[in-house]
Amino acid sequence: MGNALSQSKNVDAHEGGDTKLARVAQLETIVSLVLRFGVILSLGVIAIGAILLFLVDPTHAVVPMSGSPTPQNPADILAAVGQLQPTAVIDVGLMLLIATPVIRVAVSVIAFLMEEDFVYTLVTLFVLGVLLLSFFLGRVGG
Amino acid sequence: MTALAFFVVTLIGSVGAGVLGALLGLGGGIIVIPLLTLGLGINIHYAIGASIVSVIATSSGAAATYVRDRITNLRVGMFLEMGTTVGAISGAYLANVIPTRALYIIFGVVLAYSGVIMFRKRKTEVPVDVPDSQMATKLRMHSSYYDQAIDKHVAYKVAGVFPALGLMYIAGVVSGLLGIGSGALKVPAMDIAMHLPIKVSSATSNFMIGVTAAASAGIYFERGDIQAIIAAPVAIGVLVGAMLGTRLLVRLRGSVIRQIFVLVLVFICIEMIGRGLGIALP
Repeated sequence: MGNALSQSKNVDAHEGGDTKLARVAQLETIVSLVLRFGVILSLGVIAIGAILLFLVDPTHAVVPMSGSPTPQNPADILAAVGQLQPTAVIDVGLMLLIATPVIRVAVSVIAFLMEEDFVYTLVTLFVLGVLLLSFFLGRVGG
Repeated sequence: MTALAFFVVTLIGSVGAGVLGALLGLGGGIIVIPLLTLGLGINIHYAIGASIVSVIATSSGAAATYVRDRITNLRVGMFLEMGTTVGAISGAYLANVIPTRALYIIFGVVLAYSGVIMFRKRKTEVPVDVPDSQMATKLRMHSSYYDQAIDKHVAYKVAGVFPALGLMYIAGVVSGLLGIGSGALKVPAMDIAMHLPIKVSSATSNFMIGVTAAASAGIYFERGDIQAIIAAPVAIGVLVGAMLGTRLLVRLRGSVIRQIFVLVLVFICIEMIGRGLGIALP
């Protein structure tokens, strides 16, 4: 990331240049931590759900071998989590895991914006837009 | 097999998939799907759903280290993501239309082709004779990285921006269709079309596959293809495996990585084509 940063601006003695680069470097470190944290968090939630499943409430511990999938939506899942339904807890962890790359892209938008790299701000916004679109498209069908 | 036994077997297999995935920039889905379908008799839609999860897990688990090590070329990755994400949505929809068997054959063929080309280049550590690309220069993609294995800072140029974007759309479609990371398509595309050093291709691919998978994961999840009891051990196992795998990547020399990659490609290729033709392989 450091290389990408230093090559993006010509070394013209910009007054605020150094502080800006330092801030973006900080942001990238934050992104690294956010990714790590997001992954560990989702892993933790999934693990808790798995423990609940096998130790507390094995009624749902059935491996679906065949049959057609039934559609599920986040609202139902959150309701089921309230009742500590194990598979729903796992589902929340999975949803968190799916969200991590999306958050990573969102933070990149900000990073490029701070770097005043407008071409890549747009590039990253496009990607973010496609990602968010895919979540809405899922509801409709397919 | 009890549910618990299934869970444990899937977990262990997924750790192996994670190590291999992080090492090769593949995302583990390629190993997880045969494990689930051929090995454990799971419906392929659930296998694909679980695989998508494993792809995201590998990418997020390993990417943080690469980015910190500054090997990933973020600009190249983001630019190409414009192609892969759109492709991934197309693929997820097509999954309901195209006969899956035909796809296995197509994928196997493409893999074989990539394997042959990479095999021929296997001795090269760092690319030479990279053609000039105005587009890549304008998009500020040229960069450098520190290669721990050969203890040198390596500067590199980038080329073939738009061909790579087109290839990435296809890689995205395949990812959305089969639930794999398509690292096997992305790494050769960056390696061959863009002339990136192999380690940069792997690291950038690792970053990209998670974003690509997220684009189709939402659709699979809402369709009900991501089943908790299958996806959970896959997610945990692959994450653990990916963390182990990243420790190895920065230490190995580029040509060793390429050789391992080729061997894995051959295995996958045979298995995929076999599946497409309806032959059950061990």
